[in-house]
Amino acid sequence: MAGGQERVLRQRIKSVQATRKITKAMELIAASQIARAQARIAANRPYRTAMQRVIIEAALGDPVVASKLLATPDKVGTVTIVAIVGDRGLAGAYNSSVLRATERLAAQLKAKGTKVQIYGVGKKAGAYLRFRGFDVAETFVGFADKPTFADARHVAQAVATSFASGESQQVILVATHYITAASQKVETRQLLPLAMPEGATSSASGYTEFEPDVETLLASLSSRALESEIFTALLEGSASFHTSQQRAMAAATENADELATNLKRVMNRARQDSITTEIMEIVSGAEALRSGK
Amino acid sequence: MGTLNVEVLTPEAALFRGPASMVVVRTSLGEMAVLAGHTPLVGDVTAGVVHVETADGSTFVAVDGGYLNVSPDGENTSATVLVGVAQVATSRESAQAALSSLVAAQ
Repeated sequence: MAGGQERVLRQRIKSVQATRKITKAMELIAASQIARAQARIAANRPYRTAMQRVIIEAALGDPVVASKLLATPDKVGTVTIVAIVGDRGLAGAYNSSVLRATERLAAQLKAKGTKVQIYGVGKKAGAYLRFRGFDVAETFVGFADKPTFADARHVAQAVATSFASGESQQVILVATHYITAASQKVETRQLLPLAMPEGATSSASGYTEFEPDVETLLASLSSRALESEIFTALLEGSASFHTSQQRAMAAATENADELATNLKRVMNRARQDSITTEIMEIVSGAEALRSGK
Repeated sequence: MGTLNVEVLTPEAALFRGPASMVVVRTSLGEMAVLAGHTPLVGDVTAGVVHVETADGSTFVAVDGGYLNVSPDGENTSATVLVGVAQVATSRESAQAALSSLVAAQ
């Protein structure tokens, strides 16, 4: 029946518009979070830069000790991977691209005979990686949206414990690097043993004092640097998450608009059709009555 | 000899940034004061109170530990204190109180 079709369409338009309202709200919320997340990255930058400066100075202070402490061992039995994703979905490819990169890396390492142990940040990490048969040592949930330094410290301690006990010999981070609001990239980086930051040259020409000696400093620096790097990665992850979510929800809102317009057109045609049919029926009925006189 | 520029940074914010006449930190080898023109230095900072002496008074920062980097910056000297968790206070007493709560929280 024509009238029935119209009612079904009206119902569908209503549900599309309800979905649009939700996606629009999520888009606006994500947009408001982006600015805050960016501000937190900016607030973290001086600390991170200064921390790298300290590592460089210390490493250049005693190159022999540095090459011993900072070098990756030749034989790596177990690698710890730290994967940082979000707690929530509906953010485009944000979660899946990090998880796919993690999966690829883990598969590569396994093919070489290296054992892999994964620490996941974000609710999405555990389910995905466990389902694919990886050894997920621990997952951290509840702070991917708005990480604090205490959260980073918590993650770093778990990772550092497994490294310090000799259980794993290398720690690799897989996370999203926030370049600008328009571009983010999945990045794979070694966290431990401490990697020498790029472009390392001493700012202090000549003599630098160390207190205590470089060896003690570098040993304690790794755990501090790990905290700092994980915190930066968490901040960039949360900014990337909100950016991806805003983009995904803007696209979804647009789609809903388009769908509603199309459905409205189909509905109007259906209504017009049923009106035309009704008129035809009335006219032909009247014709029949008149000719019957 | 130039001036001494002091920065006290945590991963979440810069707590102090500006010129100062002196900064006193506690390292694993004892208390140390840094003045303008200090030799370049990389040192550790243990949990304690960082005391920054400026022209208009003193600032005390309770810190949980980290690093100190002194480097020349043109003819000035910059001293950067990098700590994990910290709290600014106006007097040494309140900084001490903040310090004990910082240490207790860990």
